Amino acid sequence: MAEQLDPIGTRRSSRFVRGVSALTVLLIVGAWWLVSSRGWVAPLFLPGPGRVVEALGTLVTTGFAESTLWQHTLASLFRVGTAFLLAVALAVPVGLVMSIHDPIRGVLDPIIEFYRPLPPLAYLPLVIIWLGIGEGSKVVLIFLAVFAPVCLNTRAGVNAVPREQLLAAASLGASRWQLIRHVALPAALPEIVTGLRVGIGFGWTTLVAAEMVAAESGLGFLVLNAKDFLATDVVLAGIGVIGVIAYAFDLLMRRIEAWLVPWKGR
Amino acid sequence: MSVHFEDVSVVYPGEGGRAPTEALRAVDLRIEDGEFCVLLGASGCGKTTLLNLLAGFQTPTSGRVLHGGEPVTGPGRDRGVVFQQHALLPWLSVLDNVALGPRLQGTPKAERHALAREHLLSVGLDAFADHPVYELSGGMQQRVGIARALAAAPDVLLMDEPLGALDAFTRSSLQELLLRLWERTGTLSLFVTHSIAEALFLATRIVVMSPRPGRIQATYSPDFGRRFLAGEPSRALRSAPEFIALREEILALIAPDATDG
Repeated sequence: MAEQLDPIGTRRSSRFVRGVSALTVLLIVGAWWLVSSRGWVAPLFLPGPGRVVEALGTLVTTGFAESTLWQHTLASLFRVGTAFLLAVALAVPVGLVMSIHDPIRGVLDPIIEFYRPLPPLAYLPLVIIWLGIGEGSKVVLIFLAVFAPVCLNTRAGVNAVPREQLLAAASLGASRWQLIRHVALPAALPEIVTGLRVGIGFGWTTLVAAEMVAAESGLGFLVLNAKDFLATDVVLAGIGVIGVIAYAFDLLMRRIEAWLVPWKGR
Repeated sequence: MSVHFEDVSVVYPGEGGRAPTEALRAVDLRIEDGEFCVLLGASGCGKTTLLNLLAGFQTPTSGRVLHGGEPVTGPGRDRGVVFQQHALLPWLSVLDNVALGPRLQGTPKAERHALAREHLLSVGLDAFADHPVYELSGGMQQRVGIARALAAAPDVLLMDEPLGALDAFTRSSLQELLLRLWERTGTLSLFVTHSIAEALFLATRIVVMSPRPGRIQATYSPDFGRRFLAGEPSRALRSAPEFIALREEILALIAPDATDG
């Protein structure tokens, strides 16, 4: 078979990697099953895979903490969805304006650069003091987590628009507004979509943390509440659902990326 | 409308204690309507700077750049530009790239698409109207760039080494295409290159420039392009004794030390 030289091994077949990954998962589940079925670890610390699947079934049918799994999931998705839409609606225009208007950049830069590296849980107490423990404080917390990456990526994207593309459109008679609308924004779209992907990941992480502090429903609340009852099987089932949804978000964003910016990297 | 570079100088201030760079010194050049003027010279001779001044992408340190008697104040659709790298918009199809100029002027969709199809036909790419631009070869992308510039019906066409990145075969066929388009539209063309053979084949006037500081060294008025349009075969022209003699003469001027053309 004819082969291309792969100097540092970055291009090896993904089938091989996937095979290794699948084997790893099987081994972990197998070890988990072995450890719990032999009674080497008490079920309180590590219930077996069967127990966790059962717990998941019960979550779906009868629920936990007065809500079914579907209701917990919906509560979480609603919060993150609201915050995400609000953040994107504001962060894209703000990022755009920051990259083309010096005074506004001067005003917003220190604010965003100060809060962006803060862990959301560090300012959660402040948000609760200001907004209480209702939905508002959770949505604001997630909003802040999503806003920064989307805003900064939009700004970076607009800053990186190839000068030739702008000059070409200007030579076709484009006004400044037309340059923004017809060149800068579409050219920045790949970076904006990257910002959305990072943002929704941050948002989901923050949401679960927020629900652990003050909530009556939601996946984060579910896990924390189950801990209070030492229902480790429900804790594990909840973690599984949170992880699957996070993964689904990422898959969805990749699909959106392929659909919105098919020219990326071409 | 004619173009006039009136005693134009461009000086870039030196950074970090280095001496300022004189990109252009006292260049005076008038180009009449319908000319195909080629700026020829080694890198650093200011030929691209001269083109960028007329495009409105930069301003001179002193002197004036006039188009139709009016000073150039910025980019505008009366001066179309074809870039070294095609600078097409990858989110638009081939057709929509060509239709961009009319779209920016508010031309209705059906009308601007019909216009764009006409211009795609004139560069031989009508079959690729609905393709994404990033699927085209370099030569095809450059043809789209030319069609896009012409679709805006400019008064002047500026081309900055548009064929520099293409292979020799594609390059000569695009040179022939450029001549035919120029014959049909009669648009004043300003073309930058460092290829002497390309300049000889295309130009009605060659402006040879020399570097440090950038200035005009000599001008020539070859007729090979016109002879090609009159029906003489391109290969015969490019190997004609007078073509080669003129090529050697210009080469001796630009690179007196060069041993190989």
